[in-house]
Amino acid sequence: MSDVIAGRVEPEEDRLIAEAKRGDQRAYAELVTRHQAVAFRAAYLITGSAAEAEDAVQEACVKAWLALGRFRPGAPFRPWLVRIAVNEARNRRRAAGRRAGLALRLNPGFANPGAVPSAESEALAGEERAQLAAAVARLREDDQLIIAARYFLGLSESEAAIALRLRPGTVKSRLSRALGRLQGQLEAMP
Amino acid sequence: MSGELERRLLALGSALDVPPVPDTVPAVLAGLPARRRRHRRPAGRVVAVVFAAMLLLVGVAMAVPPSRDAILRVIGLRGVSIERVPHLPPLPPGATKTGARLGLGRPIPLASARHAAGFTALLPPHASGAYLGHDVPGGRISIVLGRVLITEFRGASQPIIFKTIDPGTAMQMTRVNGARGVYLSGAPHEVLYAQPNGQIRTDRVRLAGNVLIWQQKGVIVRIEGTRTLAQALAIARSLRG
Repeated sequence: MSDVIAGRVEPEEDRLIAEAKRGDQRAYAELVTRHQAVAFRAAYLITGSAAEAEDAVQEACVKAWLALGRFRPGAPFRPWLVRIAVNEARNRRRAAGRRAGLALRLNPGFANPGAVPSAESEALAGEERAQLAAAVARLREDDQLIIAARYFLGLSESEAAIALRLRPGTVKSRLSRALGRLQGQLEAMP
Repeated sequence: MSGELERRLLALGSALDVPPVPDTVPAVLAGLPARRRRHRRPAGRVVAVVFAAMLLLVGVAMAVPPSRDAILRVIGLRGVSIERVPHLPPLPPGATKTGARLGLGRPIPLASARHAAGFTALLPPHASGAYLGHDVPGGRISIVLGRVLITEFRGASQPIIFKTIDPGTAMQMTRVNGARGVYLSGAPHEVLYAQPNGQIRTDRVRLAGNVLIWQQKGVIVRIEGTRTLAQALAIARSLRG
């Protein structure tokens, strides 16, 4: 899990960042290992392609390395890397001529953890998830991204602000508006 | 309203179909440019290849499966591997740039280049010369386009081309005609080939310049000598099989 707790970076991650800034590639490899999963997930949701997402993350990690000198001490690395990966993924999608919007495919084998549902309830839950995914997909991309940052990537509000280049104070209001529009989409659906 | 919707969104996030996360670390490390700019070799300086050292390097890389896998993942091209090394060995005494440019094989008419080797070569609309070499499995076709050299090999399930690059060489992943490719630029890099008998040899004594490399229609293509990636990509787009 992340070392970011309530917007603060744990000393271990701070140390890795400092060593990477001095040119230590092993420390940087550790940072990439820790955060490549969330960066890949973000890039995949944007590109809809595993190969494109992998390329985007690789490129993002190289760009992050080159920009480490400008990285503010004490800042969290994870959302910063996600931001670069998101930009890279969006550029690749644009270059490929694909339309904006997240790839929200459902895992057909997904089973709700915890309770042991009946086949009927699981089918209903699957139906509900599919409807929700369709409603999210109808939102404009800004709304999709902020929803994805918070609920599909698990970023905190402060991390989402960094990842999406928003002022910290605006994440809450933007998210609230996006959820309102999502609710509207759901109500408009048959 | 919002609390329930948030719960459902979190559940949706868990149910999304996202492929397994690839380990990007080997490719990232291989792609990191040197942080400190290395001083350039003096122009025209005679450099040498310590062949045994290179053989050892490649031999070790190929003999250890995890290492081999990591190398192959660097660029995702079967038939090509790239290894970053602390420094390149110098070329042997007596080698010159001019001499290094020889060894492309025998000249052949451009019109016959497409089917001269054991694969269908991809050709540009115009070229100033074509050569056929038999130093790698399936042969190789070299096409000269002014200062640019296009080299093609038959794709392989095992690497037949090995590139060793030093920290001064930048490695950029890219897309070439819809396929995954890599662009090496900056400091020179060494090119080694697996011969038909499996032995590794250097590409004469030439240190390659900027290179775009990818695989298309079962052919490994290398475009060498362009000043920019955009220029290399434009040439790549002009190739026809």
